Amino acid sequence: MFGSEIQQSKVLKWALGALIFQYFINFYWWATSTVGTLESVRQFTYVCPRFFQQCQELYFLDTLPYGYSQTTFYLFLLGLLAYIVYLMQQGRWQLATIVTVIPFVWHTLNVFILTGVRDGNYQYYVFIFGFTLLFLQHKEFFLKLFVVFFYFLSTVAKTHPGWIAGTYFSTLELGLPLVPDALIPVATNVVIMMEMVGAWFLLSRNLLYQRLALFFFIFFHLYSSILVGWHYPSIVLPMVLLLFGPLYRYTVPPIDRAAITGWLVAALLLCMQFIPVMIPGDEKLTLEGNKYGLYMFEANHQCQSEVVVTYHNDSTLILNNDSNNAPHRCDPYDYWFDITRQLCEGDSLVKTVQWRFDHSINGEPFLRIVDETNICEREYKPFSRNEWIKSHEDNPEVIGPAPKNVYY
Amino acid sequence: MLQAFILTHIELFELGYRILFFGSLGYLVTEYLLVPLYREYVRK
Repeated sequence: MFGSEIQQSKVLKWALGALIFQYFINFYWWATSTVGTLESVRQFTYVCPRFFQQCQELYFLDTLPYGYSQTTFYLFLLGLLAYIVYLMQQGRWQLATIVTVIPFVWHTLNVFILTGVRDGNYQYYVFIFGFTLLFLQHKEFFLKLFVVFFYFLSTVAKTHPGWIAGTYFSTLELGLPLVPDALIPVATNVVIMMEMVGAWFLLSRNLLYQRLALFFFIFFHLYSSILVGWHYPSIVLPMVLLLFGPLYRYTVPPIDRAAITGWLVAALLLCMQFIPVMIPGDEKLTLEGNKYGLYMFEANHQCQSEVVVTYHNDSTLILNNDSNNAPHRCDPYDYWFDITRQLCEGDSLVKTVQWRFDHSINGEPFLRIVDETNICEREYKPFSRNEWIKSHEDNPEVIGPAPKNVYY
Repeated sequence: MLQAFILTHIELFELGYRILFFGSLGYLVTEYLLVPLYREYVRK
């Protein structure tokens, strides 16, 4: 399992290098971040995954200026990444692969267990690349399949007016970069078609089709950096170039016993993508189940939150929080988590917390999707409908039109 | 305007993409899994 396939394949050797690069990019940011630290618990700034809402009990690190433990821990990880590169340079691929399990485990814990804020879609790529390289057989085939499958699965979230009509981008003040407003629906539908159908040509025997698909996705990732920055393209593009670029060769789909795990992972990814669809209501509006599948650019969000805190001495405090930043998901769970931890549980002087939350997607009018007289009495169910979060079917109150917004 | 036309017929477009999605998935499961499995079965 560990390293024997990698030892024999130039593509996989490079892929392991790309994986180490991906860990380096992430750990570079995480080393000095307060996310997942004891300080975040003290300041009530932490958010746990919705299926593991007591994640803070696992925290053990503190970062500057509150302690040296996190930067010391990441010193160890940086040394480990350098050691893996040394082992690769020495041709000791088996040991290099075994040691890579340590950054894989730390990355996986951070993305899925320890926090609810490090689950950007590009981290799903890093996880699946690591899992495939370390634990699956027929690594090259499944790496290729999962890259293509991720493009394909991302279209589930895009089958929505935001992408089909292009309202995600036409409601941005700056529109879609370098594309006239009238052509936005053309551009968004080309992307959907290429991800839904064109991506499979990356696996083709026909080199012309394969190369055309490759050039499209290279352009797509480079272009996307105008909006999303370098992080996502830096993780996906090297792997796309390695697997489908000059080193590309057609890989016969494996159907032996050793391939069963890989196919099961593909089936699991498909099922996970449909969790938000299976939960009743518009998941773009309620965000319920949204993060169990790929959700990048699923909708352009705007929201306004009003919290009225009533204390035992009957004094009140009003807290307003607005967002016009399109990629800020306006997830009611994140707000609920913050309010209940900081106010309901964290402040013994609080009697009740009234919460109103208005959400607009893709430039549609603001809808009051939460209107609770005491949110402290509500729980959040991670895999089913939360009746206190309203979707279109519940006829939420229409608050007013949404202005054009921004992406940053 | 193209966007207005699409929004007027959005349910039709969504249905079309859903059919395309499952059609594409079905074709690929056949091409990459069922056909190789069948060939292996015939070869044995």
